Amino acid sequence: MTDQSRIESERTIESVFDHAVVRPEPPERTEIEVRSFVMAEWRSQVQRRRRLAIANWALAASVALAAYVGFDLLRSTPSAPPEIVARIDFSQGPVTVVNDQVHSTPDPDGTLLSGQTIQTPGDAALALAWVSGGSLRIGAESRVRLLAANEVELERGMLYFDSAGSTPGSTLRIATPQGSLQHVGTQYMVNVTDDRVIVRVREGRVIVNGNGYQDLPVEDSRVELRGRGDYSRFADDSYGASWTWVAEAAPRRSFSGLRIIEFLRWVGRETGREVHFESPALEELAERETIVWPDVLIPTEDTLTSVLSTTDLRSNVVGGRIVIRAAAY
Amino acid sequence: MQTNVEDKALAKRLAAGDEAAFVRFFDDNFARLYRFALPRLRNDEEATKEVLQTAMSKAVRNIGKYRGEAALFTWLCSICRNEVSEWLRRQGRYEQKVVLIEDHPEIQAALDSFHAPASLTPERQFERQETVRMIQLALDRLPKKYGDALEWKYVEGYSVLEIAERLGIGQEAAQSLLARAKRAFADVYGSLLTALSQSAVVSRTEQQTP
Repeated sequence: MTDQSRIESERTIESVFDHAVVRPEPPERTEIEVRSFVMAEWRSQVQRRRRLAIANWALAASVALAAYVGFDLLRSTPSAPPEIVARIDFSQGPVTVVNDQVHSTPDPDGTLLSGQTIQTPGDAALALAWVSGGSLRIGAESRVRLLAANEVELERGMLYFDSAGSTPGSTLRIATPQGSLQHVGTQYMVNVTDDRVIVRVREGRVIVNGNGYQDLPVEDSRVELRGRGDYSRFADDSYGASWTWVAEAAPRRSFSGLRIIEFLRWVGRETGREVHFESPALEELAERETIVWPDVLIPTEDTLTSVLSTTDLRSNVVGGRIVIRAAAY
Repeated sequence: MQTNVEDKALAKRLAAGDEAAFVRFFDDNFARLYRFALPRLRNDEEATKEVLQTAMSKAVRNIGKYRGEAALFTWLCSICRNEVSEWLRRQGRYEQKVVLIEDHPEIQAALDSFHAPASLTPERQFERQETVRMIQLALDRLPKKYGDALEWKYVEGYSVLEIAERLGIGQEAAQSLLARAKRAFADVYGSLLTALSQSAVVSRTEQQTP
């Protein structure tokens, strides 16, 4: 290209910009949120790769050592006899227990054994007090195998687990078609659908392993597992329509004679919301006064309104908060 | 086959846990990816945020699979395109897929290849809106410094000295960068015009039913 033609070409290029406007920038808030989200994922992946590298080295070393000492790695253990794994806290609808292909209806206050399978057709639901502590709830149209005191298998449908009250050091592993989940002090929900497993964590952390997942952490978010290590992560709320069945399947409780604050904390925990008092005086009132309500309760907004109507407190549910205010007479 | 040496080096550092590499990766690509996704999601900012979170997370998880055969931004766009489709699919029975001018195979190939021979035909008649969009597309497909420098100089009217200060380089280096940026822009923009003249495409909206 000659100098003249280069100059003309450059002028032509510059003239294109006569039609241009500044490219729009994304909102700053969006950039901050996405950066934080992606960085957390990136750090998690970096740690996972490092642990995998260490684990691979350790595995290679242990295999070599086992081969050297001639250790039998394929020794089998005899199957354990059935053990009590849970007590039924609440049952609704046509729940079925399957034991050696025999279907039966469980006793409302009965116990469940390892090796049994639970089915919840229609709108049935079940809440179990787990033997090592914690509350396991089974949603509608679900099928769950109780494998052992520390493991269940969700074949289809929905499970919710709240580890509050668990024996320190105990954990419940949930096996699904797309991997195995283990919690670290948590409330979380698992939903098995035709093509994916959806994990929603309300509190604490869940770790996923198997089927291509290696120590995949899930906390304060929703993760969809599609198998062979493939997954998507989304920001998620700890309250709302997706969690309604969890509160409705909660074990019923009586708060008659107990402090209002205990009732409010229970509703807050079961609905995934934070209880907020408009003033310290209102919180003191809730700590001091007791509930006069004879019936057992379920942790819903209607129950909250009804119970508080018998006190000097009222509530407003605003997003993720239960705001407690004084009654206006 | 042309490889993107700088992009490959960045990807390698990112996989190794270099935090400066993450900052560079994010700063270089976020805004451009946002502009890529937003019109495809019907200018829904909340949906765009969600899709970008998913797409960029997927990218950092799979950064070890990036081979450098296409530019890193091109690779990110393909991930983002899939996540946009997935998001639209999750919205329910009625879907309206936005087909943009750059989604047509010829245009996409022109953007992805980047080094087709330049053939500027400024006499080409476009509606002003499409012209503006084509320029922004071309700028976004350049390395970030090139796109920014051209926009600062020819759209916002900054001097070479001001551009040099913004980039933290000397005035001569800024002059040289602008020259390279203009040639790169001519390549990309020329390819777009050539591809358009071959396909005779206009932007349209398609309706999808299940």
